[in-house]
Amino acid sequence: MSNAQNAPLLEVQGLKKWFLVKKGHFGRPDRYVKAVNGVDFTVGAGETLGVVGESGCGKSTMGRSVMRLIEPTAGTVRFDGVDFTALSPQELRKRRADMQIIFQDPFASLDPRMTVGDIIGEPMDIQKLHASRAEREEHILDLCQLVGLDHDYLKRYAHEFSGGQRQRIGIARALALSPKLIVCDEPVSALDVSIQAQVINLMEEIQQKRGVAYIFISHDLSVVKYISDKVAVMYLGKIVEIAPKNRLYDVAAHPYTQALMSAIPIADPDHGRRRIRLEGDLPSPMNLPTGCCFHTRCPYATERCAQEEPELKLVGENHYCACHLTVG
Amino acid sequence: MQTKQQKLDAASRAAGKKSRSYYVDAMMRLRKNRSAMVCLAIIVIFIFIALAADWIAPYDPYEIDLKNILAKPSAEHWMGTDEQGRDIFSRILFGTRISLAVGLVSQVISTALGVVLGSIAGYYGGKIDMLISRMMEIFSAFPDLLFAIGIMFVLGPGIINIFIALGILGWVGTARLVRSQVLQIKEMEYVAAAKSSGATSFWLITRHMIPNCVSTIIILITMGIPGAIMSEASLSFLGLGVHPPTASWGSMINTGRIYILSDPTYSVFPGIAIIILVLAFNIFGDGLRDALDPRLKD
Amino acid sequence: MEKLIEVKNLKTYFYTEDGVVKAVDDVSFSIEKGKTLGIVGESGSGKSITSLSIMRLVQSPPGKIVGGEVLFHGRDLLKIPLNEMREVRGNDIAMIFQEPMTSLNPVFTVGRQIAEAVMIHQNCDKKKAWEKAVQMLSLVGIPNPEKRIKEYPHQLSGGMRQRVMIAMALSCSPELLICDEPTTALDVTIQAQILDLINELKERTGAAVIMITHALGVIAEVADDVIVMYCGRIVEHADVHSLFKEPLHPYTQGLLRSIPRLDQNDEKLSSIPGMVPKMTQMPDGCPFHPRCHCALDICRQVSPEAFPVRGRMVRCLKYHPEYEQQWKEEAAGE
Repeated sequence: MSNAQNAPLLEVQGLKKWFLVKKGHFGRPDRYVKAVNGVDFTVGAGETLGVVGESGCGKSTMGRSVMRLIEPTAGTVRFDGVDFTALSPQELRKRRADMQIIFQDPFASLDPRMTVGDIIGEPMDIQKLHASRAEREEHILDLCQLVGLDHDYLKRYAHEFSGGQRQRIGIARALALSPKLIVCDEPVSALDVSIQAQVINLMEEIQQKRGVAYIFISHDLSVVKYISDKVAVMYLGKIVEIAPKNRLYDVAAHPYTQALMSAIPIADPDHGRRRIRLEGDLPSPMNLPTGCCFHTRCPYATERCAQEEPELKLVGENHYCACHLTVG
Repeated sequence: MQTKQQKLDAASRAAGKKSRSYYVDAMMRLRKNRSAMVCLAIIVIFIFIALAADWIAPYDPYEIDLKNILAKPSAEHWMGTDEQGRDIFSRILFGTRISLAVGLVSQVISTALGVVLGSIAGYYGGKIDMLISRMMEIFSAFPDLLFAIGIMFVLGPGIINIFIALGILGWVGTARLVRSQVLQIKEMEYVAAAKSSGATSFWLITRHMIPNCVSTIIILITMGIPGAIMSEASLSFLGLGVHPPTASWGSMINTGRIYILSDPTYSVFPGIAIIILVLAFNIFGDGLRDALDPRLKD
Repeated sequence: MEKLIEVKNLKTYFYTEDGVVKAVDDVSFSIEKGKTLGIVGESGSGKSITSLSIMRLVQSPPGKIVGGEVLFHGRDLLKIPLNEMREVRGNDIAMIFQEPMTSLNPVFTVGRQIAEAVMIHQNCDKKKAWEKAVQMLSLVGIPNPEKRIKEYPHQLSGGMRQRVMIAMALSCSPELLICDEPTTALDVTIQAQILDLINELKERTGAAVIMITHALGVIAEVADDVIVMYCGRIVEHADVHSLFKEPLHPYTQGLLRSIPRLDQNDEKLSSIPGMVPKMTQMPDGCPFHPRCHCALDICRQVSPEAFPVRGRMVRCLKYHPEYEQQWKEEAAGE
């Protein structure tokens, strides 16, 4: 096998996104919100990487920085053998076809002045995919069939549809350019329980048919567990643990992952549980704690945690964890 | 291939039956608003009067009849005559032209200025935004009428100059609203989606920003017209408006003011005309806003 | 146990341009002191309107409570004059909403808002009310209450704001606390804190709780009894253990099967097909039949009433003694 075939579809290294919030005057340093503060991960072709974390952990910003919808502050994104971060705007516009996005809010993500057909067809129009109108229409109809939308919806406007149908429209749009990777930013969080399952199943089905890879960002650990191959847990702009999903859910190594898992309500009143209670709130990403960023809420924190920042280290098969207390 | 064709046919048939665009929806809501529809009818009547004044006016509005000055309303002169014996009713009919023309033309000028400057400021942000925003602040620091008086003073009276003065006066409001609208749309996820497919700035502005601003712009125009009509009346009242003897409601009130004690009807009738037209535009504008405002949608 | 509140045949309709929406259609339940009733349902199921109807806070027009009784200590809350109802709200029944930011006034400090609630309902002086506010904040686990009390809502995190809302709701020791999706806007770790807090406070004060949510996990965690609502009606009413162990109504079954669970491995998610019907275009017969995997002809015609099955109330013909035979025959025939 050649090296190219071995390389993962997406390789992210040292990705950072700092937002300037206050310009420092008179020699004072600039103040930043360190939304994404150095993350590394890979996603293989046809694979699903789940990204979980609480609000403000930087998971959405991370997804958008990978796509360069937001320009990353530092780091490299190698996608399909190309350094995405080094592309010129023109090259980037062409390359964007391979990496698409699905959003959380099924209302803000569809232009209210466009028909469903035009929404799904927009990416094709932008990339000038089809020479003839008939070809374009046929492609749109195919996509509709794939995501389970009625053909007579095409000339209607998005506001006439329910959340679940809107999310299907969003998925069809993301598939229009046959991407290799789709960043899914909380795609089912705004949907009702019974509709959630429909959309999750649809996404799995599409992955099997098209071999597309997903970065599935969600705050819902149960959903992430269901759909992912491996899962990254983010806290304050960093990945604190990343592992194949069964390993992560069976033998979570990081205290934050453990607490997060124990906090999830289980739909079984007889389920016995030991809940690890986290005290306090998330620190502000403008004033990150020293050392391990979790030490302020960690039940096991030691002196060392407050001073020294832990690196991600191997603790099991493909299982990495950034904690001083776990032994490799 | 056969099935594909059938699918296409079925899709287009169904579409013809069910397509309900945002604007169709809005018009349906507007039609249900009775007061707005009445006001629309009034506006249409005024437009008709303006266009057909030559035919429907019983007298020539400039025909001086010195034997018959300051006549009280009668069967012959429905609203009486003015100090030169001209028929007030006919002059009011002709004055509609000035009021409507001022309203429409000044709004076209201010909207064009406002949309271009507002969307540039909103989309590009940074230094350009700062420059345009400061300009807006400077313009809005002057009281409107004072500003218009100043411009008219420099340019001199005349209908074209009124267009220019009121057009320059009105752009700030439009620009401010379009700018904030564009700022909001810029953050929408459908813009991010288009960007993620490789859309250029030009594509984003023409396909997403402007179509989503159109309803705001329509509302602004409708709401801006009565303001412009009032400003024209005020300027004409102050003698800075149209040249005499052109019939304008504002200048009629101004001259009628002298005779207010002996012949109150002289200034009252053009006053009523202003009130009706301005009110009609205001109420219609309100109805239009309710119909177009997406926040009221389910 | 004594019934604290008893809702009987409550009906709240909305008169819209597109027709009458039966947002709450013949809903009955009761709660005993110190118990938690969970109401689950998807958006549009009428779960929030039910609670707003109890408080008489339904926006009118277009909404109107058209029938039923809400007996609180035997007194019908729907019949008492509004000024008495205002006494009940806050004093006897308090409510917590999903988005604490919109329920708190941004221009006043949290302390002032709690103190004002106390002053209105308990006729005490300002100093006492502020003392009470500090006390309440420490009760809901806010560190440094003396300092926090002088802060404005926007200075607090989402979890802290929800705690303030709970403090405010509990400041007059209500007998019934209605929580409408109290943790939906919060992160899981904060959600766990808030749920623990509500449970803890319930035990300490002996108040009853109505917990409205779409999250079955939350229900399993806090509720004693559960109502499952669909299209404005109660489709199943059971105690929490039997509901989760053996859901009877096909809708409840579908809901439970469509959530991915941490404690189970990779079974295929089975989703409920289709979507909730438009409330103005309700299907004939059972409202769930278009999405039901075991619907029969009879379900398209007859809309069942709730009736007792195995110690609970279910609204499905599958279990109805009168139709059971017919149902079996048809099922066999198919």
